[in-house]
Amino acid sequence: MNTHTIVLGVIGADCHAVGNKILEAFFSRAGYRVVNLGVMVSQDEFIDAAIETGAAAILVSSLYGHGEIDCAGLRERCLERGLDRLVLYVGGNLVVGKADFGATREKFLAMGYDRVFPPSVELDEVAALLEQDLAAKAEAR
Amino acid sequence: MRVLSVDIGSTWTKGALFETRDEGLAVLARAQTPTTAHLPEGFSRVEAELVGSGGGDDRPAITWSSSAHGGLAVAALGLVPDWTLAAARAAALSAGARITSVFSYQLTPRDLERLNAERPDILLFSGGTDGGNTAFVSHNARVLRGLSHDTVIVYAGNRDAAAEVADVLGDRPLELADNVLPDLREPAPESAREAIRRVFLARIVEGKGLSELVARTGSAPKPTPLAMLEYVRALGRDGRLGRFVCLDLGGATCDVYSHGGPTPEEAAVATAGLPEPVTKRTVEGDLGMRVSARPAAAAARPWVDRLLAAREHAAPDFEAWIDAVHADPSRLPADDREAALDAVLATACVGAAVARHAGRIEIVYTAHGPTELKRGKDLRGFQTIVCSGGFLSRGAEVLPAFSVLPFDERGRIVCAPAGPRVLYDREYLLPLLANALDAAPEAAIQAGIGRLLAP
Repeated sequence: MNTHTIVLGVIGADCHAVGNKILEAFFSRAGYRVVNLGVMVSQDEFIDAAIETGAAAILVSSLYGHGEIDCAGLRERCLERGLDRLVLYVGGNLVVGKADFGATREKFLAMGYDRVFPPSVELDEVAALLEQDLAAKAEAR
Repeated sequence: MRVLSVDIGSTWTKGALFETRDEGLAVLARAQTPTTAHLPEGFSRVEAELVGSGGGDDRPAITWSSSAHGGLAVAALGLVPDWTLAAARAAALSAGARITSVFSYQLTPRDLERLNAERPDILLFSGGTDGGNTAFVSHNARVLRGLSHDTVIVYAGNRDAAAEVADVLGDRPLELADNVLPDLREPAPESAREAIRRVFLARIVEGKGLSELVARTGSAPKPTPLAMLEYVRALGRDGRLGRFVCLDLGGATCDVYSHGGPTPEEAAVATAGLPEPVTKRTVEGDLGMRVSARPAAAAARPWVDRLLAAREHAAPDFEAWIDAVHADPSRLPADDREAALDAVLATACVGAAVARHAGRIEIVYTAHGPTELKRGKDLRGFQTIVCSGGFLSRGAEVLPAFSVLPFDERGRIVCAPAGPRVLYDREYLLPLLANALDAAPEAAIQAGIGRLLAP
């Protein structure tokens, strides 16, 4: 049983609600305390919610192709606002068109995200990595 | 059955003697007297005038409220401004408080100095959802060991930190309540509100010299705005007013109450921030007609400018009128021109106060076209405005307040009522009927709605 709190949401002006509901159901069942902010969530809302709920991770979704603009600077903003041990994931259709996912992953890793997932990823795989990453951060404390 | 209702205000102590009839409470007599430094004196004068000083079996039920000697002064402390601080503020306002100051994140030594200078009656201390952050609460509890014992702390934050807070602050006046925001999507103001009520009765009533009235009348007072909020809720549940906004504009402040939840269509719009309470109160200390005329003229400037332009009044005339009422708060308009300038101030105060009470809609351009993103309470579909308070109840023209400024300074749509009907509390009875709600609930509701809807 997991007791970590995680914050979910779809960033920016993106109103794709279905995948977000699936993530909420999946991670709740996996034992996390899920704080789901829904669609059209700003960077500051993610951070406000993470501070208030004492969350260990933020999982950002972006489906509409503008992920690069919306997601840039979130890590820095977290650090600025005191969240210095947060696990930060991002996933979805992060850029428009048929860009090579490897290049996209590199780009988002460089922005400070711990993991970057394509829309096709198996959620069990994400859950296993999350558990591992949370344990690593806890150990670093 | 007869009910004596008295409200001890900061300037006037007002009372009415009601009798229950089929059509609701009927007014038998009214009285008012200047509020006295020793508050029970004014109360007794009003009581003597209305029911005589003799004893006898036919004593009416007594219900009363007080906002004298600064009302119920509450400072609010939260963690993140948009979450636990917003929830704490809303809880305090719904308990009838006047908010003296607000603090978020870590309390600093200067914040503590400010609190000790202001000496609010209560500090509502929140922070963290249940299971959430405890580090800030823990830090703030330690800082609050330096808080004056004149201020009672009501802790309503993360329950995981409650034991520590009790430990650190247990040797000083402290009440523990449930978290005002146990979960980000579910504010829970009830327990904090109840704790504030307990403190009000146990300490503040005593401190303001009201305990002899409690002993004599056998009934406990409410803060005036709490009595109004509960009355607004009761009027709303009746249904005949529809979803409505109630305005009480006075010399120093403007209280705004609203009752109504979102329709399914409104609920379908993407929203951000705290969910809104069905019955909501806000109060603006810088929007008033006399004591606050100067700050009101500044804060409501955009409304003032547009209203003056539309009515072809000169700005210098308006400034002169503000100076006149600032110099003499008892000043009343002497002619039509002054009445018109006073009306501009009243409408501007209403515009600014309702704009602060109401939510905002931002148009966000998405891949699917323009989409609405809403924050705060959407009053656009509210059908009714109820005008109370001396400056509005006689028939003030308030509708322009909602239409002259459809957008805020950031270009967002202000969710103020669009095309409501306006009803007037012509005899300014609502606060006294509000007091009578506990003694004669049905009759108090019938009387209020009957009077508002009377042709």
